[in-house]
Amino acid sequence: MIHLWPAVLLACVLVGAGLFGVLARRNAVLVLIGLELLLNAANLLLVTFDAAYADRLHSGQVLTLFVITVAAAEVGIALAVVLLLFRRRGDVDLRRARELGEASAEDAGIPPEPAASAAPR
Amino acid sequence: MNTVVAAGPDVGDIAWAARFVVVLPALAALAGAVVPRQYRTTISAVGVGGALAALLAAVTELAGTGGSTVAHSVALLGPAPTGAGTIDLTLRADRLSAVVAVMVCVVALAVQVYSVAYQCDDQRYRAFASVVSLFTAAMLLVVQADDLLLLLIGWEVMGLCSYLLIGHDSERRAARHAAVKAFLVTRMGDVGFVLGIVTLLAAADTSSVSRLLEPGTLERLSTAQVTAASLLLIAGVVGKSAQLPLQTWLPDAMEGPTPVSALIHAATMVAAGGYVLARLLPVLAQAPAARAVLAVVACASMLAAALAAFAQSDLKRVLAWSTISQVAYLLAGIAVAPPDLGAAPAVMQLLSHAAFKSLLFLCAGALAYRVHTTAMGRVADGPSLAGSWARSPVTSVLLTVGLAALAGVPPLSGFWSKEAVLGAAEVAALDGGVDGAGSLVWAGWLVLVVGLVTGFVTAAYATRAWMLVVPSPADVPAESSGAQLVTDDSPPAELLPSVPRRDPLLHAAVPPAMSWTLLGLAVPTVLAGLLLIGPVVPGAIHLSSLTGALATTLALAGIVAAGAAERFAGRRVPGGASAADRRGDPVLVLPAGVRAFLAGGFGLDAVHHALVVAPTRLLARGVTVGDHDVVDAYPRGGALLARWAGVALRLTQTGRTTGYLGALAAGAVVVALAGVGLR
Repeated sequence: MIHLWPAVLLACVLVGAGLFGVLARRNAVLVLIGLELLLNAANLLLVTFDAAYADRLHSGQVLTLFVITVAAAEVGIALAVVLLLFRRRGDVDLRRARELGEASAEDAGIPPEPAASAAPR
Repeated sequence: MNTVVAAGPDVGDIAWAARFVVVLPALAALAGAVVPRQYRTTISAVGVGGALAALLAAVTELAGTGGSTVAHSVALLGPAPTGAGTIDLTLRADRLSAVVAVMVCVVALAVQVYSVAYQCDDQRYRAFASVVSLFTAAMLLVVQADDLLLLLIGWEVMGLCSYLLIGHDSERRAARHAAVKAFLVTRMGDVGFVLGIVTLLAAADTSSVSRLLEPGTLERLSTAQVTAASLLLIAGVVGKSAQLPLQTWLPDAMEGPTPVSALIHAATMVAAGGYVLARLLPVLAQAPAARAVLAVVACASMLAAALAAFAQSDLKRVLAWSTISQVAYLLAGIAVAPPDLGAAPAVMQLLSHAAFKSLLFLCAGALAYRVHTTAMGRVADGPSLAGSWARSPVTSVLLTVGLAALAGVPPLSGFWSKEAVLGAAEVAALDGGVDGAGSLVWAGWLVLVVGLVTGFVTAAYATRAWMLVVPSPADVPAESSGAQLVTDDSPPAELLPSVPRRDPLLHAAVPPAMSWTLLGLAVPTVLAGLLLIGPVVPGAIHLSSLTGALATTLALAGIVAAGAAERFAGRRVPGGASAADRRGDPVLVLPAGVRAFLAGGFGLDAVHHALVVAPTRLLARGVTVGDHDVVDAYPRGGALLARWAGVALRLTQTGRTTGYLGALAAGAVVVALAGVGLR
């Protein structure tokens, strides 16, 4: 039986790296990678404690499979959003993509939505 | 006292007749309401057929019960078990219910036949015919009910139907107003009626009228219980029968179509009050105080309504006030009914009043059919009924017959029934009260004296109405009164439903459905005195030659007085040079202030307004203020709070994804710490 602390330590490192990626990065793809690190930290803890406590139902492993599935779906949608963001704006800088905020259109210097979509009509 | 039997040779026939009397008009109402509205002939046939079938059933019932004093109890829906006891829901077939049911069915049939022609261009004829059928069914339920709860159901349905029918021309504001007024005013009395029935139920521990009227049951009740129940029932009757002080709805109810007025006044609603008291007479007999109240109310209504009728300028309003006065005779007859005579004089008055009042209303409708107004007055005042003789001689003759019966001219029905009431009052005045305590002596004298005086006034206002409606003004041709000079023998103009009724060229002649109805109703108006010699009226009638002679003299004096007043008033008309101007309105002999006072119904509307309407409105305004400014303040405050909270929360919507994610992470940490800390 191996000790628990290396796995927990690794999970902590992963969470730290992931949080840093999520909070400090401006590139949307890197933010997504940070999110994946967070999820995998959780997965690691789940598998670790499933093994440690010898759960007969192996709910830790089952939950891990769920998390992987959900994460795959999430990444699919998130990458699509990022792709659209890039097509629309030419970059994937999250600090500049503030159109959905209150009165963000003026801050970002981007023309408001109705005027942009009114032209083809 | 009647005895209830459940078996006999022809009980089955009577039972089925009693059930059919109630059920058939109700079925007709239901069937008429589902026929598509373009099939007017079918709708008419259903309405008339329902009334006719009910009439046949009622005649069968009368044939079975007329000769005996036996009352049959007939199961209608079967007993209804409740927590506190069983409600039988039975009908009662005896002489009283049978004879009144026949009367109701006759008038309902007349109204249905008449309105086929009268309402021919009514877009809502289907609703009209159905509600008339329902009204008839409700009244017949009241008549046949042997159960206080069935009686109450019929009573309340009648209130609804009167609202619907008075407001039938709902595009007119006055009609809507009158309908609401009728509903609310009768409802005020109905509160008393319901409480009275509850009192009887609680005191006698049975809802069955037959069991209630058994001597053993009545003797168990205390005087206080009987008096309270009687007074409460009388309150309901005062509302439904439009007696003082709740009479104000009836003159306004003239906004309804004329056949409806005939139905309400002659057969159903107004008569129902008198019928219920006649049915429950043994209860009233135990409560001399309630009977004294009833006598006073009836006498006040009798005389006051007759005086008000004298000053009206509209024929239908004259008839409305005369209904109040005549029904007051009925109630007075109940108030002074000596035990050996029973309710017979009142029932007699009920029947004869139904006959001549329906005739009078339908005549008024037929005359108004030609000139489109029921206003009375000289031609110069605008469109009026004046000169009806030249336009419709047959209808004028029938109107004359009806007015003579109303005035109590001897061979006609009104004379006999009023004699019956006055005879009962004389017996009460001379022989003392119910229990020999003399408690009804003064009531008897009161009814006798007021009844005789009212007879004088009644003859006067009937004569005045006749003088203003029937004779042609001497030098004014009838054409100028707004109608074509066509007699009833002319072929009826083609009637198109799309053309409004206001066109005087249509409706030039009274259609046969109306004139034959009038002729049919004239028969009982003239011959109702024959009921006295038949076995029809339950109980006995006391006629005395002294009151008869006195009443006849006073009636003739009233006629002469009205004629004299006409001459006298004509002389006072300024510039009355021509013969027509010389014949003034008899009411002009009264000072203008008195005229306005009488025509306005003694200002009782203003009193009602001050005592009931204004406080109610004040209360309503208070409730509105409380609702708007107190109760609504909390929801409004909640809305304000939500709006400011929204403004504050909008500040967090920066659009910075990193900020959101940071808040999310912080939240996750908080949740995790809370999870650890709360373990």
